[in-house]
Amino acid sequence: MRLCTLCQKERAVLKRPKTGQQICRNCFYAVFETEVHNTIQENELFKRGDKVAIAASGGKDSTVLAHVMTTLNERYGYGLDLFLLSVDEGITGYRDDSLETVKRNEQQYKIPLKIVSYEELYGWSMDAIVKEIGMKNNCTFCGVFRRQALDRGAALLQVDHIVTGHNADDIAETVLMNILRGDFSRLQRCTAIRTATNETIPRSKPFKYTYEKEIVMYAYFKKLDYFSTECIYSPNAYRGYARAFLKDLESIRPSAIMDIIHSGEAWESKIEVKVNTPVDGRVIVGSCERCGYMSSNKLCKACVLLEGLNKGLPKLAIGNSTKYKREQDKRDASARARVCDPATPSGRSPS
Amino acid sequence: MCSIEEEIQTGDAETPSIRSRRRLVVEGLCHKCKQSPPVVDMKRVMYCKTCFKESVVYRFRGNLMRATKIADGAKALVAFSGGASSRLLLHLLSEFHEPDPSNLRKKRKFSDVLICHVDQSAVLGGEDKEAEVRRIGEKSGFPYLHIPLESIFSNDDGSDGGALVPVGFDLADTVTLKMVHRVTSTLSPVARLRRSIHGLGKMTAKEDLLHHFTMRALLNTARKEGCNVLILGDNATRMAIRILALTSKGGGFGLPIEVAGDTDWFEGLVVARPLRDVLSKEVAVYNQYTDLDTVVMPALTTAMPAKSSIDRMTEEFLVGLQRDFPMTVNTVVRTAAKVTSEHRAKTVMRCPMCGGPIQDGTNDWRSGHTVSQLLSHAPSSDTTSEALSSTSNTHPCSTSCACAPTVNPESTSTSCCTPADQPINIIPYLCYPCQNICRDAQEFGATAAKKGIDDATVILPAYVGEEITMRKGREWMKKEIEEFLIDEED
Repeated sequence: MRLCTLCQKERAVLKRPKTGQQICRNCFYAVFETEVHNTIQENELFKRGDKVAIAASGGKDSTVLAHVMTTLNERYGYGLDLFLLSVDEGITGYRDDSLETVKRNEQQYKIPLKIVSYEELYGWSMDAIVKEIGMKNNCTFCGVFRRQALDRGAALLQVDHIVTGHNADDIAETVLMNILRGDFSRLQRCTAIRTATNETIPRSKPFKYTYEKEIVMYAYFKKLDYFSTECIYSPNAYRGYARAFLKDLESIRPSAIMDIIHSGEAWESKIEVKVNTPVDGRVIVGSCERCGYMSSNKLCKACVLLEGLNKGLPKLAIGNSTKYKREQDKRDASARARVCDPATPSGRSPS
Repeated sequence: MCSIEEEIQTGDAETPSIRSRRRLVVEGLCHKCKQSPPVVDMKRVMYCKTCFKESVVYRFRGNLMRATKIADGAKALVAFSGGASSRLLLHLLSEFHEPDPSNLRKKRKFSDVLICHVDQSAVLGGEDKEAEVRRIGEKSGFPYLHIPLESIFSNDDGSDGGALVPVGFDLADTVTLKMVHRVTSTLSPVARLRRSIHGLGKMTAKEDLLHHFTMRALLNTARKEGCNVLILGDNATRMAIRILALTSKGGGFGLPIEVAGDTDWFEGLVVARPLRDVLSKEVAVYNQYTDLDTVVMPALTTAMPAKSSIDRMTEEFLVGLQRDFPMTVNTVVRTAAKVTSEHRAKTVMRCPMCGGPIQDGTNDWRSGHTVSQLLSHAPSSDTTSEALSSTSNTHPCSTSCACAPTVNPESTSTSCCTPADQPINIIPYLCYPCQNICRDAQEFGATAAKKGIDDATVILPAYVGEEITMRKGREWMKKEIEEFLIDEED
């Protein structure tokens, strides 16, 4: 029998993906939870009495996050008021099923749940959007809408903080992606544990240093029930390259994921983003004229996309939309066309 | 996680329109001179032979002339491996160094050019090819220096520097690699070199250490020969691979030094990479057009599967991606060139192993986010200090040693005690990526020790130990006089 390298008492039942150490179940829980606790403490993510919304999709990351947040809140007495916040994109056969998981979590952890849907916020469900624009580019809509939806849901709940289940693999992959795509400004921001401006609710990623494999392992041993189906509309072309590469790196050297995050952190920009405050004479983040959400253009990306949908020009502002812009100019000579310039991306999620 | 950027297209269908949109193009003629038929297609631009060669020369010269850190009239050392890129480098430099026939009074950028070939054959084999490399090097007309890689185990004056050897391994303790300096060794320098590379176990670590050793040998030679510039033949593809691989190994902090066109990070020397925006394919095509002969040297991962090391894997990945997205390499190199880190801050130390910058707080970062020691009763910050206490406490040596607290610091100067006195855990003194190398060595050594093999474990050149000892001495001195130092910010 092989003993656990950490406690030397119990039988080792697993090889830890992050370090390769052979350890027992209890030591695994201990190191897993301690690492998350260290991350929270070191970055001073919360204050006592904060109301914190856990962005819950029903998938593995957010289910484990809900569990770990509840556990740590009790164990270390963070004094947090926890909520579950879900976004219903309106994808039949995917989101409706995963929301059932979230509803069960609500019962298990006794945390109140709030669901906001695309349907009620924007008047369009993802199913309807896909019917309109097809399978290509639909992730653009979903991603832009979700970021806002989470913020709006959080505002409804009047919370002080949102935590998301982004894990170390996601972050390392984003670092690689941003290098490959040459997105320098996102490269400087993508490893930040907390994203905040003076006017939005701060968001953070307590699982920033937690390996995806360990999250699955934790859920497996704790018998947490989660919903594990890929989104039916997600093809993920370019990101797939980075993901496959990352998995290969991890298999060569398990610490590679942490190493990439370590590299990314060395490049972080120290500039704080403030809404409607000029930096070097230029307002970098303003607010949308229509909905008031933060935006780098006159209209935020969600409003532009929504306008396209409502006008029957859904490809507006996606990729190279000069052709659509011209079409729109013909139909509607109003000055609005200039906000659709694809060369200047609006305030999207940094990750 | 969903991608919200789906705009990227494979480009096949797009090609003609992109081509015609970019510039005025005459169909069937070179895009640049619009006179001769094109023969090369590089990143969707068609060149004729002359224009193609001109564009490579232009970029090379531009990079050298733009390198403001290189003083005019500097003495240059050119690293020459015999491979395609350094062959091209040699060729372009000898053209560059020719006096201008139309203006003989025009000053040349370099006063002198030397060629340095670091002979890695002790590790990689291929001894028979050294003569060919020498022949090509000497043909260029510049003085040719042949430096065996094992020379890094000697002192600057050529005497035997001894080596750093490990003392015992602990299978459970992955954060400690205790080593001690032995002044004499029965092993020949070649044998020491082989053991230091092959005592690492993993191919990724071997490649890294080999790279550091080679760089060290080049820098040593450059300093010894009184050169001000070291010119490397890294091409754009090689740089992009290095950028991604270095990122994946945790070397982001030192990346700005690695990608700079010219950098004065290394004391007394500027390191320049004039081929940094020439693709490896362009190098190959140019060499073919100019009949430049090269020597193919084996590398550590030659004929190995892609997954044998991080560098090899990254190469496979990037070259594959470049096939589908022809701007990948340039994008990666340019993005990395914009990256900044705080490696220039005053407090930043140099890594004794690779000479790169050491990021503050590396040890705490690692132990806090990868908890690998028992913590059932202690919070992890304690575990950290405990793990490091044996090495990083204020009195690095035992009381019997010269720098013990009872002894006057003046009498100790900077070398507080001879490295042979005490085993040191070297890991906390290294930069993050070099720590990864040593962890591999530790793991390999511990496994070997368990099997009863002890002549396969890593050894390191003496300079690593010397620099650590020096730093420990400095740290102790600083601690001793700290209260008398005036902080600028006060």
